[in-house]
Amino acid sequence: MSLVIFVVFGCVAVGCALAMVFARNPVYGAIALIVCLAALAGEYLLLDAPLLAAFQILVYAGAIMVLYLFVIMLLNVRREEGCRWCTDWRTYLGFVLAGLIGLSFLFKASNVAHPAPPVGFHVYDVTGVAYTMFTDPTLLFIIEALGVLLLMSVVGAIYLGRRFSAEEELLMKHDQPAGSSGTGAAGDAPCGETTP
Amino acid sequence: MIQTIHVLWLSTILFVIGTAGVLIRRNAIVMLMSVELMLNAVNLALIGFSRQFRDVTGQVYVIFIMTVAAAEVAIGLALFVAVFRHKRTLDTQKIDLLRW
Repeated sequence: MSLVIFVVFGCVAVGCALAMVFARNPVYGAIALIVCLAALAGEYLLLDAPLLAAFQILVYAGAIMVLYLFVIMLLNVRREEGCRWCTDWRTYLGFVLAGLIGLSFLFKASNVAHPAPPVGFHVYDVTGVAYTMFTDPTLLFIIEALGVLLLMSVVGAIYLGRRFSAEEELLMKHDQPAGSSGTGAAGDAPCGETTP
Repeated sequence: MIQTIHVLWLSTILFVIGTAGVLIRRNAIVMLMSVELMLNAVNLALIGFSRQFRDVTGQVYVIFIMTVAAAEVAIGLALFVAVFRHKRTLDTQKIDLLRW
């Protein structure tokens, strides 16, 4: 029974991931990715990780994807690409490389002996996860490093999003090509063409 | 009964879809979303192994990966906003200042 639910959630996740990759409008892609992440939260519940399922909904679907949607709507990017099925060599190279990666993974996974998971239902709650997290010295060090990383990312994001000074604005106007004004500038360029 | 190999299959499929998205798409935001999908595929594999070996350390590492993903998204989207103010596009083919 749990396998059936697993497969259903997995099909939802894979379908929404495909919809995200092939959506023309980035807003639809972001919404498909939200559904995919929610389906993955269901998978986490099935795999005895309810805390991570809650984190997945709160952090990924709640915070990160809202940030994505905010930026997409702030920048007003829609139909950025000129074609849906770009038929230049890069696309085929991408498909071939992705297929090779998947084949190698499947080959490795089918070659090792995979023992059955232990029977019984053992759910790690907040206490279990937190005990391991805050008693192992290596993990404690990683937590410290992640705190520094978050601080640096906040500082960097604020620095990157600041108002530009007058001379910086002038430099940008000088650097900007004359024809590309407005938001949908990349919309009508043909596919295989690269701007010189 | 869910076997660990099923979890690994699903993780592989999602990872490959994310890889294809990074390699195929040209919109920088969609490429970053594909990277998020790859991170989630790795999270799924970690949780599967955590269940297989009855070791909660895998779940702790998933929390770390989520933290790194949040930081990455904050910096990446700030970079995209800055690039967009500069270039008025997010097409990676048109952001070619450092192109050889």
